[in-house]
Amino acid sequence: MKVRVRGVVRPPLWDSVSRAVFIRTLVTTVLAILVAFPIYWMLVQALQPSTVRFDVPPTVLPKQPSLDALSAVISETDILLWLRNSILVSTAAAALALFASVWGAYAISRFRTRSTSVASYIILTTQMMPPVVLMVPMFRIVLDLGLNDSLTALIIAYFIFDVPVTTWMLKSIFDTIPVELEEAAMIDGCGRVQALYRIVLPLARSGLVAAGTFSFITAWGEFLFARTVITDPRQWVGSIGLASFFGEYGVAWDEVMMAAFLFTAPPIVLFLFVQRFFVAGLGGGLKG
Amino acid sequence: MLRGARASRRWLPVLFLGPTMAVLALGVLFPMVQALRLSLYDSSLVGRQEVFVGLGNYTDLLADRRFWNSLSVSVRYTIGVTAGSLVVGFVFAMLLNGRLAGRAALRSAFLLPWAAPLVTATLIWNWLLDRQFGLVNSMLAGAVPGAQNPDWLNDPSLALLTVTLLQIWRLAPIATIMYLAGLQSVQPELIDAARIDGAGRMQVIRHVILPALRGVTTILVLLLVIWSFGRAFTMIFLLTGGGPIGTTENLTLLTYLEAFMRLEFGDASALAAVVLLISSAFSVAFLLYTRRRDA
Repeated sequence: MKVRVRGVVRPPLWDSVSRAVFIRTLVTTVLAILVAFPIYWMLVQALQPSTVRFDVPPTVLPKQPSLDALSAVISETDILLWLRNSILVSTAAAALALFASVWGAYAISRFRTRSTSVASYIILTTQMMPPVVLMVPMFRIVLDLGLNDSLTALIIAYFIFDVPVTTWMLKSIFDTIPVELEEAAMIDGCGRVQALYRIVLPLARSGLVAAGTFSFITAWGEFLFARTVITDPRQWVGSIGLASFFGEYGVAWDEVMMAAFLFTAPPIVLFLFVQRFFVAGLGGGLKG
Repeated sequence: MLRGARASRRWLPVLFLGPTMAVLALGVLFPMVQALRLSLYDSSLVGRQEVFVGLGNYTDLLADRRFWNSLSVSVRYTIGVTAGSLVVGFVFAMLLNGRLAGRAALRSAFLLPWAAPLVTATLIWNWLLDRQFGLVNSMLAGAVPGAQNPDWLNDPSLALLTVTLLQIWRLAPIATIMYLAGLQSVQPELIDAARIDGAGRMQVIRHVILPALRGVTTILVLLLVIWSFGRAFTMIFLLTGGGPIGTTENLTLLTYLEAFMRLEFGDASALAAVVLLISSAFSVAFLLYTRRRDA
């Protein structure tokens, strides 16, 4: 018997099933609040003038909410520049990763040959590679090519790191599209490439968006490599910019939190949109 | 014409794999080989001549107490994060799997620690954990009167625990999602059968659910170990920079400091090679173990 609980349970339907549902929902909600609290707290701090910061005990709900921090942080820090750089780098890296992965993913999904199983093995192994191992040689290469302090280096590095993951995601997505459609088209004289382009890709469109979004989010939050390669503050991306606030007591706290909010909101919003792919992908990966 | 078609069909997979493999070869395999090569040299950014030292860097490493400390930190950190994330993820998944309202919203909330950029999460936690003004300590003082304000990030006996807990906060969502997916594929008949046989809650979990989730746990262990051993950097770097007296200086951090503070690329590459070796050894051993166990 399905019991729907909408917020408050109305008596007299207080039977054992709906009570169990209520308790479970309550416990889970409390835990969810605790887990998500830091993110919420950031928003609270961003909206609160910093005079209230040193209250002991600190406030949990905004006491005097104001948007002063927004204009202040824009005028006093380079947050807009950092966001612009982050958007540039993340978008380019995601687009390139998608473009490079589509072919490989299609091959592994459709062709069952030795080359494709070797390839998927290699992809899996590169995913397990600790980034430290690549850090020093990549830095040397970047230095030798004169690409240090350039966003291009970041774009290339992120796109390379993303390819294994993106390929894997796209492969799972392609697997869900029936081969029969391409076979029918090929009987009609369509080539493989056209089959991919005209049939598979349009059907996989939402999956492509999801995979691209993940690359975007990964690149957006990356710190280690960015910090290594970029020293010129004009080329800072968001993660470096925000990290610069550590140990920095000169900038007002509400501004720091507002900057943090501006940097955090885009990936979270994007993530909420594509999370069902994430969930499906992780869950589906178990069956593979 | 027919022969040409068949020949091109054989080459087609290779052609399609081309771009992807080229990227990986250039971007991952090539630097890896370079790193291994570099570890055999005394190489620095400070303009010294590169001198071949063979395994010299490695022997220096093994004799360095700081290396062994960082190895110990990495191992303890990895075990803590993996075990903690598995447990927390399992508990959350069990909660989310039952009948409750607003599952989608709650699940999204649980995923937030992973979705938020690491730098901002770290920034927030840095303040929450502040000894004097942080929310954590004030709530602690409110709940447990007489508790001395712990210095979460600067107390040598607490720092590693703190960063471990934070990483669990960050990684448990992954475990939650994967366990949730696994739970949803457990056949209800098995649970019903156990219940009929008189099994209590705990017994059902131990004898029906956990065995059914073994595949998930295996993958999770592999992922979590790889992540916390070889990737954990940003949070520790920003919060403690290696910690009070090196208590949070793990291998990754040591490698970074070696490479970009001391500018000793040869030594850093040797360190990185050690990390790679241990990670690979673990992966291989673990996969062999699970394959044998499941056979």
